[in-house]
Amino acid sequence: MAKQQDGDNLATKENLLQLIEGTLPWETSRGLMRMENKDEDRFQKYIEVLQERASWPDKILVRIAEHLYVVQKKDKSRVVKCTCGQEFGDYRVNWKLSCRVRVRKTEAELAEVISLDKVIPNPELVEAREFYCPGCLAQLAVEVVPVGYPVIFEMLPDIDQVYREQGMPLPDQSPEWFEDRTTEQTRLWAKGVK
Amino acid sequence: MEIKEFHKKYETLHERIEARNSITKESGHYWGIKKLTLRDQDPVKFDRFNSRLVAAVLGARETAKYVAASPAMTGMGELVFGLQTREGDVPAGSLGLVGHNSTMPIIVESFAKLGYDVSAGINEGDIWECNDPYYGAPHAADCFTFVPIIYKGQHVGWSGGVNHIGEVGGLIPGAVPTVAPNVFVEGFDFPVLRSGQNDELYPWWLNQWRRRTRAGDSNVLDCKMRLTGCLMMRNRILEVCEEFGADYVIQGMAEVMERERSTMEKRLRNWTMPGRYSFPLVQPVKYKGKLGLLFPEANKDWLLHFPLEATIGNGRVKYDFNGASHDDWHHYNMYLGSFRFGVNLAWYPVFIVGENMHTANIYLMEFDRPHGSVVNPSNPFVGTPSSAVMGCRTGQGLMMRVLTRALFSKGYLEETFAFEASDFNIYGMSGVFEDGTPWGMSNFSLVGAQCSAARAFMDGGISDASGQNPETDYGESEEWETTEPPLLNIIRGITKDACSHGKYRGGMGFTLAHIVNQPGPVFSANDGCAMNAEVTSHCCGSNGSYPGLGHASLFIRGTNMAELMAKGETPGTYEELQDWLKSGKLTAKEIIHCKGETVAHPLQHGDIFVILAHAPEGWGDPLDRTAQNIEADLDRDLISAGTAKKIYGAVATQNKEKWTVDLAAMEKTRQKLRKDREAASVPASEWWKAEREAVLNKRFHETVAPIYRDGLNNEKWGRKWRDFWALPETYSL
Amino acid sequence: MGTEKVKNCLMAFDAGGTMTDAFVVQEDGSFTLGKALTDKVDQSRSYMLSTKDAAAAIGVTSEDIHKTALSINYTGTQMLNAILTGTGRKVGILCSRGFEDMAIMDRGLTWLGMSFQDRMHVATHAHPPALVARKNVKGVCGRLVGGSFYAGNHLESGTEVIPLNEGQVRKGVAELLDEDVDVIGIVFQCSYANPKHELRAAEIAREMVSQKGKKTIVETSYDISPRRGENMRFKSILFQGYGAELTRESLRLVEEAAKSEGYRFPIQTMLAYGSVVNRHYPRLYEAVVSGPIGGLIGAQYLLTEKLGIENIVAADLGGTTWDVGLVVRGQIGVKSESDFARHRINVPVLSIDSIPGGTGMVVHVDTEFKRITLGPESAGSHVGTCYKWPEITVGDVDLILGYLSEDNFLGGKIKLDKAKAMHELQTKLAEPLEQDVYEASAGVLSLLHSKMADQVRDSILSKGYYPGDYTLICYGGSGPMHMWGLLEKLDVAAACTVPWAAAFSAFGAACACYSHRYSKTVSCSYPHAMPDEQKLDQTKRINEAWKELEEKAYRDFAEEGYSKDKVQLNYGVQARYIGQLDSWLAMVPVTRVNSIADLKTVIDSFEKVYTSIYPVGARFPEAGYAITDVVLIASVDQVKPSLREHPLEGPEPSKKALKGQRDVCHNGKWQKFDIWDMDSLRAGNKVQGPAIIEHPMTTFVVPPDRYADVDKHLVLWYKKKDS
Repeated sequence: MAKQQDGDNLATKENLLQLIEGTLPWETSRGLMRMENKDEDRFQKYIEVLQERASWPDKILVRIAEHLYVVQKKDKSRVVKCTCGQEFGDYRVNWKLSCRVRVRKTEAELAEVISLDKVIPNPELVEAREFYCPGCLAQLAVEVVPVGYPVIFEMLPDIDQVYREQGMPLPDQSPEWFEDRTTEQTRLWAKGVK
Repeated sequence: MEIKEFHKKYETLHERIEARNSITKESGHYWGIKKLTLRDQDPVKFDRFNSRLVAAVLGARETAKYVAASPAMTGMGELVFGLQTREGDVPAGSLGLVGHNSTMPIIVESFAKLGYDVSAGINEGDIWECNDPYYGAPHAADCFTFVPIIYKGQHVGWSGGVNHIGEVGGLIPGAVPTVAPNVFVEGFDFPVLRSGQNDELYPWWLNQWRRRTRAGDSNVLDCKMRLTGCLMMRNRILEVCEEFGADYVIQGMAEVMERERSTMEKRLRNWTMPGRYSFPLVQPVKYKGKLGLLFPEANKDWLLHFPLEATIGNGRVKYDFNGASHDDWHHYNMYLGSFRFGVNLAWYPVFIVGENMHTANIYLMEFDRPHGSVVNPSNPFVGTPSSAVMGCRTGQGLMMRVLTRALFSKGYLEETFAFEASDFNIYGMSGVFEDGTPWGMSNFSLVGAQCSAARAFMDGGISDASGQNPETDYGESEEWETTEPPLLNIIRGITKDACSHGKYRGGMGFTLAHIVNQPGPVFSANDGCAMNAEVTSHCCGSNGSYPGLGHASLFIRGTNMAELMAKGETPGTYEELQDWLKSGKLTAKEIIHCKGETVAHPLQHGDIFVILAHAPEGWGDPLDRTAQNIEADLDRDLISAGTAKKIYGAVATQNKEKWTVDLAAMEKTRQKLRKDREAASVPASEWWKAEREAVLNKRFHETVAPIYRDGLNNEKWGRKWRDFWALPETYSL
Repeated sequence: MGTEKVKNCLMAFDAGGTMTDAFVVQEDGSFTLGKALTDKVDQSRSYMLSTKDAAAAIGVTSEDIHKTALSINYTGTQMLNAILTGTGRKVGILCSRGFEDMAIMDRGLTWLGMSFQDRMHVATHAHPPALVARKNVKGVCGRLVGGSFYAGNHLESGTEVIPLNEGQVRKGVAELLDEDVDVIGIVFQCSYANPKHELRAAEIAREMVSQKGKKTIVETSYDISPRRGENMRFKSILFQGYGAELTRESLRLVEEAAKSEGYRFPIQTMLAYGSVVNRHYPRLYEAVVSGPIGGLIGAQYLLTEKLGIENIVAADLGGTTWDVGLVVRGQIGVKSESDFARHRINVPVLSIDSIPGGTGMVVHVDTEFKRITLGPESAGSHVGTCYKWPEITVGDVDLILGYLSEDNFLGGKIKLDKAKAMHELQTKLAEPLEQDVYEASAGVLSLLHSKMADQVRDSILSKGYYPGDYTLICYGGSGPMHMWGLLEKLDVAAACTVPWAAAFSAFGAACACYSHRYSKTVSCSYPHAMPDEQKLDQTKRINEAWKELEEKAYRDFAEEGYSKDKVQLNYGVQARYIGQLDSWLAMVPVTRVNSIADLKTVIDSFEKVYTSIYPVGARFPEAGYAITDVVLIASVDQVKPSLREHPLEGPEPSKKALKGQRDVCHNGKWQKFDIWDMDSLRAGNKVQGPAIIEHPMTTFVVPPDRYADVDKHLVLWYKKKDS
């Protein structure tokens, strides 16, 4: 039942890098899945590998999406940063509010991205929102939601908790780090502040 | 304190269940068990005990399933057996419909709340059944049988079994009536009741099945199948009692529960990123004009809102559905059973260790299901047939995506696996043959094995996942055809270009097409799929990919298929079918294009019924996809060259079967596509202003508006919404 | 004079991935083993080497044996290996238009052959490597219907609704021939109900093949397996095309080698359902597996036919698996479909339940939860840390506890490192569990033995029978060593093993009947309301099918060199209650169904079988009955080993049989076990426990409270001392 054997030598940083790059052979990936008790230092190794392949020096705290990381700046602020170096500000504010947004509202516009005509969503019910990185114009997220739906804050990590559990508590721990601050941004916009 | 002490202390079953809940909640351990005494005294004996329990449930399923009647049982294993403690928890369940284990405790709880342990007693040889969602069943199609396990006069636990029957006798034929505003038309619902004694089913009970459903014999066989399995399991457990003693069995089952609970808690801490995750979905339901005169209150369309906000941390998970639509006269209302059933499904693939399919995970979870909402109806009579579907799509589908992100963020990319928890692709049909014989049936095959979503490191798979059953299998077309004589299956293959694109592509959707062949005077078919293509499968895609594509069906009527058949010609793919329609080779008087659930459409000889199954989300930005992967898709004819260019910016040329992408050209096209993105987009702040205008002026489609009306009625979600758009407190809908 | 010594012997070979075992049974029932490394390129070489090895042991030459040998049975794993390693032949397929993607969608069966854990862990699932390239699967229009269980209310089974599109056939075949495929397989929807389209397509294909002057083989799914289930027929025809022809070729080489030394008959091989055939048998893919099958046949032959024991549980504990099969009232059960190398095909297979087991099995310790778990990985012939494997295994445990001798492994050919095993178990097992190493080791065995016992119990109970009615025969390399533990946790009527336990499968192969099993789907339904004449009208299909199968059987046997008068036929049906999907095999006492009375006889046979498996409550006669398939078992006589009867001697074994004593930690208690030499024991001897009876190939443990009783066939009966 247990698969220790497959696991032991598999969770190496080399393999982890290939897994991240999408070049790890299927059988090895499968070996990782079949580890009964996974390597508990995976998070540290993961962060190390990510840091090594990052094109900028800022300290990675967590990875929150394919292209996005929460990094710790010199001034101890924790901001969202894209692979390309573009920054999105405090991670407690939904980073999508710092993106460029394209909205597809018609069937024709939707047909450009959905390649089977019979299953194109009904524009009367929903619109498609594409969120691009202002820096590299990578498509970071897509939402298909009714008009007026609040932008979805997909993930607010509890960074202090994960570092506590890893036995490396962050010096500047505070409950405030696990608060949704998105509305502070929208309030400013409402006041006409850009 | 040993479990048996508790049993002395609390007299009725209901008191014991209450005690279990409070003690477990306060102590954080199942029944307050902090130390596994039996396990520590003799780990090996304990393992042996446990393997006896597991063997008992597995044996029951493997043997009993062959008694059953529908391909869903024997072929696809759509059934499950579970060994239950006296309070209903399942320390060991079989494979199969693994999620349904989690409804067994709820039904036993209903049994207790109804006080039947006092009024009817828990007697040797009694047989109990229930399929009423109000009392814990996911929906009427899931019938639950449970018999007490009594050793030398002592109640040790329950032996339970569930299976999904083929026809429930509702207003709409089939297993999942897709128009059912209330319980009175959704089919044969029966609350917890005693259906037999002395290990024999009552004859009048079997007759009920014959009179109240359209597939009586088949349902009777399923009923016998459940009983067979329950009795086999019970007898095996009685042997275990003989060997270990009843006290050991009772205490041991409790320790297994706690062992699994703590094992899972550990995994949750180690493998997932703590945090708050938001992952909503909207579900269209279309009744308008369908039964307005009969049920005016149900004469409308809905866009149901299921806004999951999940908080993972400290080895616990909280599901929060504040802001969900209110319960109403449609078939998507979810009572507790359907919801917990889906929840269980999300966890087994990664978070169950060892050989026990258990329900201990429930003790790590907290649910915030606003009363009066579609996820916790206050109205006891609203319709429920698709509540199980929604249980899968919310409890499992949404949570799987949340987990995928949480695992990805923690570095366990290999586990980032999600699929469409039950697209619930079941089509129903009924009719009258030439000789006047009436019949009805439903076909499950598409539920059996579906495509999966892309992972953080690879494309989605083909026919490699199924929402409700880890052992995927869509069965044999030749087997299914024997249950639906007028349908001639002509296409069972992959739909070209039917996928959600990304750095890694989602799995390919597939096509199931039938020609209607000599159906007799009356025949109609309905497509029961919940994955409605008027929207996408969820509101969010994954890391820059589009969300999964919905499901559609075509009813092509009045065709010249008969002549084509005579010439030995039928289309072999959806693509070819389209070409023939365009070229006029295939003619049709009418093509009805439906998205998601449909009413029954009358069909005649030569008509064509096409199902385009959904395709789950990809992963990442399509412009990050490698040329190799694009070439591979082209070589396998999964996507067209047009799509490769339009979506991936890949300019490819074919030489024999092999395709080659021009790297330099691809780079240029991608640059241009990025430029287009810049040109077509605006900073979020500007977009926000414009969209806010729409909100302030309430420019909402009539089907959409209720989402916000209900949202505003919910304090938490209403606040969030007002704040996001900076709406005045006076704002209302 | 050498020939005299081995006159009229029977030979059986088990060509495994690594070793080829030869098993030579002499006229007097005595047997000799020979071994050689399997030659993957030309199996006739390893065949000869293992024969010579056995001959040498007897003191004769291989010619001496070959000249007078009465039968040679050669089974191997070659076909399975070809499929596992993707080294089969190039196949092209013609299938019904619209079903071409069967090749990649694979019915969604992505989890076959996986452990319970992996089956639940969906992310680990994957389709098996395809046996045919998608581009070599060509669609052809045309359709016949397979009938429905609304019998008489809709189209008759086999009705044509779309004519065969011969143009598409020609196009497809032409393309496949351009691809230079070795085999063209034809599998059309519902051909089981009516082969018309497949046969016509094959006719066209063969014409085109000969026009092009090619050697391409053309096969139809109807000939391979005329049963419902297009995916399984698709896989069956792939197995046949991909693997079976390789086996046919090896058999030919082996046969030539044998004949070159004067052997007079065709070489035979064993099918998955336990009968033997020669290399001319058309559906040779049915020989896909035979390993565990042999043992079950052997058990039936030895205990049922020779000793008259009706209910047997045959259990084989090798290095990697624990296989359990049943003989019920003298009969072996057959599954109508089965999984091989993660593909599901509908070839009938003797029903054998296998779980990971055996001395090679790796022992895992989950430190966090103090869970001991075993396998599924196995050290196989590398035994454990005491020999050539990095992880601790059951073998290491057997060694340090003293059951296994470091000096007698494979008759002393291999020396085991006890000290190493001790150290490894100490650190990897005892310490994590915070237990004494011997206590923990005893725990490992106890867990292994419960799993073995559960498997036996399940195999018996899950089919509705009672273990107490069954006689256990335990064989395989390590069977006799762990029998004691199994029987601590399992009550059976009686238990035994044999001196040739290690080669029991090969022995079984020599005991098999020469027979073929044919079946055909007929889909007849008999609702109560149906008027008798309509019932009888349908019943014609049954008679026609039986007739057709009879002809097929006579044809096959003729090809294999047996005249009609030599062939015996047995008739059966697969039946169920209307509405059920699975059906149960019932052999019937009639050869045709000509009257309502005959029909009743057939249905009674089904009811008998059904109620022997399920509680009476699971019966459902009210629904009416359906007969889904007809079955025909055709056989010819076959020489089998004649077990020699030895004169019974006294209970006291001769002193020279006693090799000495060894300290064994049995159930946590150290005690002296007598060590006996198995070959020196005589019929009638009783060996009192505590004792260990050693044979170069196996070790038989007899604990203090038991004794071994050697009967006149040298079968060792394992008995309780009466206290």
